Amino acid sequence: MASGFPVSSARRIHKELVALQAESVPGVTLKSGPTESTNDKFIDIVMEIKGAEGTVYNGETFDLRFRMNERYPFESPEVVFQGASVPLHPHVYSNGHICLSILGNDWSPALTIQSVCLSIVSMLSSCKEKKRPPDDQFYVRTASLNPKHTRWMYHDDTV
Amino acid sequence: MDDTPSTSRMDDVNMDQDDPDVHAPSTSSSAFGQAETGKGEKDGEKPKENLFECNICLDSPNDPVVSLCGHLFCWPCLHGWLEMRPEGHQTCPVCKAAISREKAIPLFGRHSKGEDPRNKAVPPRPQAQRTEQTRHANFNHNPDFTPFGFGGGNNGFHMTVGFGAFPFTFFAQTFGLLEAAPGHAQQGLVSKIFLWVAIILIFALIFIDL
Ligand SMILES: [Zn+2]
Ligand SMILES: [Zn+2]
Repeated sequence: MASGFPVSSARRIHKELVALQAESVPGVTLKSGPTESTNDKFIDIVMEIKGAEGTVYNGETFDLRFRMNERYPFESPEVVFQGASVPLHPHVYSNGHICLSILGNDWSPALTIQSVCLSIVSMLSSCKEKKRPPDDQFYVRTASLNPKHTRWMYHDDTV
Repeated sequence: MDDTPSTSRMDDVNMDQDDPDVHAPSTSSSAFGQAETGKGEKDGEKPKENLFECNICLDSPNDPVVSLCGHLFCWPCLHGWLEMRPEGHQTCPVCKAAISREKAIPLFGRHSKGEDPRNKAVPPRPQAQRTEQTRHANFNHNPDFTPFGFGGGNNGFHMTVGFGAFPFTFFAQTFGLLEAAPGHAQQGLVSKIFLWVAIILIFALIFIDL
């Protein structure tokens, strides 16, 4: 195993994965990972989340890629929707980037992969109308690959 | 303060959950063997509910401290978090209550030596790199791509004017720009260009004076 990733961060991620598998939450499952980058800079985990019943995403599944760097959990993970289906949502850009405050300046080290997944499920559940953010085209053309390089303003978390 | 410490209040993130149906782990996590070298703990078995886990590393706390809001941490873990936040903006990771070094109460068990963990040297921790946390006002929902100085040239002009008199202000501003937009590729590039322009101008001034 690579030696560059700090044991404390790796250990915390490991504990989260064990807990995720032991007490699963409906609609949130570990899909793949952990995968360590070859340069020890990050660890990737893919979670699958299901659109909740009775919401506009009922029956749809989405893949969320979590990328934890060596400062996790003091620093937030990079979380993006990946793959073919990126939910059509006013806070989700078509490149998979998500405008959600806990992924940025409201991050807390007491949050976990599971609690972030639940927040995102809840964000999807409260959506009434499937649509992209108004600046989607522009954002997707110009954004960095890493959503944490974007300066976000979280104006309405209830959409 | 003699309230019973509340259990973790993370209503904003945790949706109402029914009893999580516990079943055997479906995927092996042994691929992640590195973590096991940390402490000799049997993972893979169903983890026991431990009420006394650090809210940051999720482990049994090492040099435990409790916040006034009743949340338990290892002192090194809490310290790592406090270090990332500007003073006056330090909040409990669990409940967001105001928190500080002085308000963390060390816990001493039967076999502890009674040394205040807050006085111990804290193990080396990662350096704070993210500066945007101190700049709450600058977050835009619509992501902000405008690189400083592009288009208008106002920045460049302003700085060049100030430059002769206060060369160090220029540098401060240059680095200030870097801080304002950590990691933003375009902005970093522009800042670097400014830096080089500054260096060239300094040399130009020195040689003109000579
Ligand atoms: Zn800890
Ligand atoms: Zn608290």
